[in-house]
Amino acid sequence: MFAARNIKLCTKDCACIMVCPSGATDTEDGQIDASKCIDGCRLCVDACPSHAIYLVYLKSAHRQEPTAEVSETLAALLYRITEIHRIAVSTAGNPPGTPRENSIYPRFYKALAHSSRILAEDCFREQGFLNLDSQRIGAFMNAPSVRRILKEFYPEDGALETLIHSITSAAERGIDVE
Amino acid sequence: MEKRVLYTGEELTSLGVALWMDNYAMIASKFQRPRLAQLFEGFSQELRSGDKKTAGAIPVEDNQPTNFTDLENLIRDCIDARYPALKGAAKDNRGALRAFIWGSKVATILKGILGRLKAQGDGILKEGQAFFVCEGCGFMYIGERAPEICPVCKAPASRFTQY
Repeated sequence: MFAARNIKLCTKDCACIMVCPSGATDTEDGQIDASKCIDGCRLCVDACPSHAIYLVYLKSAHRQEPTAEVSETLAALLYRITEIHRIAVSTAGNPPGTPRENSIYPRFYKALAHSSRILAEDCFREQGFLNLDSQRIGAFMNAPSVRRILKEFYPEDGALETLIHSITSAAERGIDVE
Repeated sequence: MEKRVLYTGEELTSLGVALWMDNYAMIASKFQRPRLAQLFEGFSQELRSGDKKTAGAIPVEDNQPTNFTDLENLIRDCIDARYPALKGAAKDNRGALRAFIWGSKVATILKGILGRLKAQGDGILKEGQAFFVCEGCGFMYIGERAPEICPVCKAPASRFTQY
């Protein structure tokens, strides 16, 4: 695991720089240098008076799997929420009828697109999609029903396999590489 | 790790997969993986491009977009059948129960706003008012400024987006 800074909370108290044994917190880009960060050290996390530093875990404990019934009810719910999102996105982009000045409809549909995206996100997370578990990501993308959909967008031989591999191997690595 | 497939197929659409990608773009970014987040975002945009092509101008009847009734029916189905089904299935799964409580509250609020929009049209927003959406739970609010605390998930005003 390595430390990361939430720059929105950082008030430049610099306690992290005072306590860091490796100089990982002393950077020019606002972020902590993960390659210098000492695994599990957490001195900066505890020292920060603004609670602006957290640890990014590369491995997480096994989580209770949702039952088949929970997964299925979430899938049925997700289908409806996706349709709400579809109507919201397509209507926000194509305001109904003659565009009137100051019509509130485009604003409403944009807000609804946002709200429905969050509702969908919540369902996916209860289905267990909440960390960068490369096996779980791969299992979803390689599921026959998902592959069938993705194949329409990436029809060339091997194109889909390459894309799935690029994502699962990147998730597997645990850290971005140049 | 269990390899059970979560979808039987008929419930899933390309836009559904795009929303799944959006969720992972957000997770990747929180895990300090901007490049991985970009990969997910790229996938999502590609999947959404299909919808953009087919979407035309929405016809209007009685000054109301005709898809309004579809929206009302979908939200009613969520409130009357789908969220209660989740509650029934959740049993001791506290995460799923929490999703039921937040989701059914948000859906009920959305239904209320749709009803007001139908009755009042543009008049739903008074002078100086806007729509606000909570990033934590999807709660939608109409007012001059975001609520201090989200009534559904207790997120602070800074987590709201104004429309």
